[in-house]
Amino acid sequence: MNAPATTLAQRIGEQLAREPAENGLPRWARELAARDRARFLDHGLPHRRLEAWKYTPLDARPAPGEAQSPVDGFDAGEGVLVRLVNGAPQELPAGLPEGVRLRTIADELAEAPEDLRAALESIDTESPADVMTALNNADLGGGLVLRVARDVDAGQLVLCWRDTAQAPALANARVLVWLEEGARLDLVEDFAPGRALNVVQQFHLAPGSRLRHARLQAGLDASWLVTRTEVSQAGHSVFEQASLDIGDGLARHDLGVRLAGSGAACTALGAYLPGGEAHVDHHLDVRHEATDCHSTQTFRGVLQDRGRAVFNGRVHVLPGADGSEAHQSNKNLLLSHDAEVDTKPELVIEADEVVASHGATVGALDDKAVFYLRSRGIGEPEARRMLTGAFCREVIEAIGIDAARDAFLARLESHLEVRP
Amino acid sequence: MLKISNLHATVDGKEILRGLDLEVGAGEVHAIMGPNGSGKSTLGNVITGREGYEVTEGSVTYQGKDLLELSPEERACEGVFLAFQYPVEIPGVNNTYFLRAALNAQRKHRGEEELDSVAFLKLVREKLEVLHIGDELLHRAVNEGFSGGEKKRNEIFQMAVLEPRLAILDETDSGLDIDALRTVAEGVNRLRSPDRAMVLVTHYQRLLDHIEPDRVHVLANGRIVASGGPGLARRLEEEGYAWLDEGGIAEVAEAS
Ligand SMILES: Nc1ncnc2c1ncn2[C@@H]1O[C@H](COP(=O)(O)OP(=O)(O)OP(=O)(O)O)[C@@H](O)[C@H]1O
Ligand SMILES: [Mg+2]
Repeated sequence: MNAPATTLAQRIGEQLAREPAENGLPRWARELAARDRARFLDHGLPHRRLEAWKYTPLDARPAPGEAQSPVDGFDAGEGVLVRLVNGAPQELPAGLPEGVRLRTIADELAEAPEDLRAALESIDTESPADVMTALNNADLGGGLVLRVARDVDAGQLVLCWRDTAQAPALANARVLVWLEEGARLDLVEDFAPGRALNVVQQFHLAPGSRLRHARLQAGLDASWLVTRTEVSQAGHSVFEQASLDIGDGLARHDLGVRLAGSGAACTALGAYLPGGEAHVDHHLDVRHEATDCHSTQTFRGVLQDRGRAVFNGRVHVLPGADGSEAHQSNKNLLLSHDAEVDTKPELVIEADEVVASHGATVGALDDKAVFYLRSRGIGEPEARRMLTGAFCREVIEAIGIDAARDAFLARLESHLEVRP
Repeated sequence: MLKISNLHATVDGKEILRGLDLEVGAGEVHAIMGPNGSGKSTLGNVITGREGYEVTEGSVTYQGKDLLELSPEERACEGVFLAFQYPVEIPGVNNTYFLRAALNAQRKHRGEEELDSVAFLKLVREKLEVLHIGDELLHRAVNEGFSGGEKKRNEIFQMAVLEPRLAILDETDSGLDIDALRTVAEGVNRLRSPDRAMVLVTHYQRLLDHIEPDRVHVLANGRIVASGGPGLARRLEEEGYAWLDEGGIAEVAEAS
């Protein structure tokens, strides 16, 4: 008899051994999964000695909760809705527009297209800092692949992520998107995990394509959401991401963008409002590899109670990426003595004729503004709420997907009502 | 309506108001003039309850109530309004949204029904029209990027919508073009009524050409050192404040 598992890492290890995901996979995928399972067992969960995880050491966190997610979710409106329960996609919608193909990753793996293999093998998982991706590879087979054909507008796809009481200790899922030349997609994600979810996403944008990605994280108390989004952009493609983190648990978001073709543009917007014991960590890594690309990152944080946030934004303009434009801003409101934010913008420029700006601030609400509102009759809590909301709304209002913008603004408002 | 007795107030431990007495009756308009740094804005801040302004002695009574006991928002709800010398920019908060929230907070306090956005917009349009202010200010964030004159107009516009009982205008006339000055005068004169009172802090006679004050006071060194009729303002404009130092207080009766 084995001794009962004590740590989360051990429980995940047992989970991987119990359900060998390799069944039915092509040989290269089985090898990838086996290699990375060994890596996970070797490295364990990320710890504070890893620079990239020093403020978010998962191994030192209390184990994820076991709550069930609320059933309600983002109203997809005219879009297509896919529910993912415990990380696994439920019934896939039929009748998608011509030129849009949505399948489970297991189905795609059965056919083993070369681009899928290249994508899955493209993320280096050797370093312990990438162990969450290794873990994701080890559990290959869950998730979605979406392909949008040339010049097709796929409209809006909503992914609604929810956990039930049957969720494993930690669920893994993969989302891969290929947009062919001139294709368009609006991807909205509504995350309300109850336990732990580790999602790796890979977006491939062919020349002239556009992906708009809006992500809401409203995790339950003690839940974990770990996302890694890798985007590769060809010439004149556009990627716009916006995230709103209002959950009570932990969220770690890694965004890696390669501006690989001339004239590509990427925008990342984010608002995070950790209160209680919540924790939000954004790690960005934007690489300007080609000429005349634009990148903008605008992040706003509001920290209350014992809330904790990390912003690490790295923008690297490589030699030869002349004519690049890169702007980064991270502003934080620290509303409690027990809250903490660590912000580190990082701009490395190795090319010529680059326009760049970056800045980070941590401050309190403007007393003069609070007094101005109160002097007109607005009560102090309401005045603070108005100012806090305004601080975050600036980024949420910039979301290009109308339905997501409206829904996120409403969620922000109701979040502030509960937590002034 | 407003009775200030022997008011002493400090900012950062420094005494700014040193025994100020002032009484403003219902229906009256008073002007306060005085050198830079004499404490005029401090008085406005103390009356509206700004944090950091500590009253160490004296009293401020408004409509029979001890004003100093109330929070800034309670004072506003009781009808006290300050047009700021330096209106604050509030990015991200829409001007209309802000003003409706303010008006409804005050209405709620008075036990009146809150205005929905349709009724509110109707009210706002009426006020803009009489003040000859365009509606572009409505769509912008509170004072954000407003020119100096636009900020002052916005203060008067807020005053017109909120209809305070006691309005203190802190140099609302400074830096205004002729038209904007008329807007301010129009706003004040329209609000003038037997049950309201106003205090105009100003450095110039020209606002008083449009608004005839009942009383003019000179604030120097944290106290009212001279009071008189409208003639006092004209004399100050011509002669400055130096004559007051030369035992001029006695002459004030003559000046008025
Ligand atoms: N927050 C503060 N900290 C320190 N000193 C202050 C503060 N506020 C006001 N003071 C000082 O109090 C004095 C009075 O200032 P106040 O603004 O009331 O003058 P004022 O009469 O309105 O002048 P002006 O005509 O220039 O507007 C000044 O010496 C000013 O420097
Ligand atoms: Mg002043």
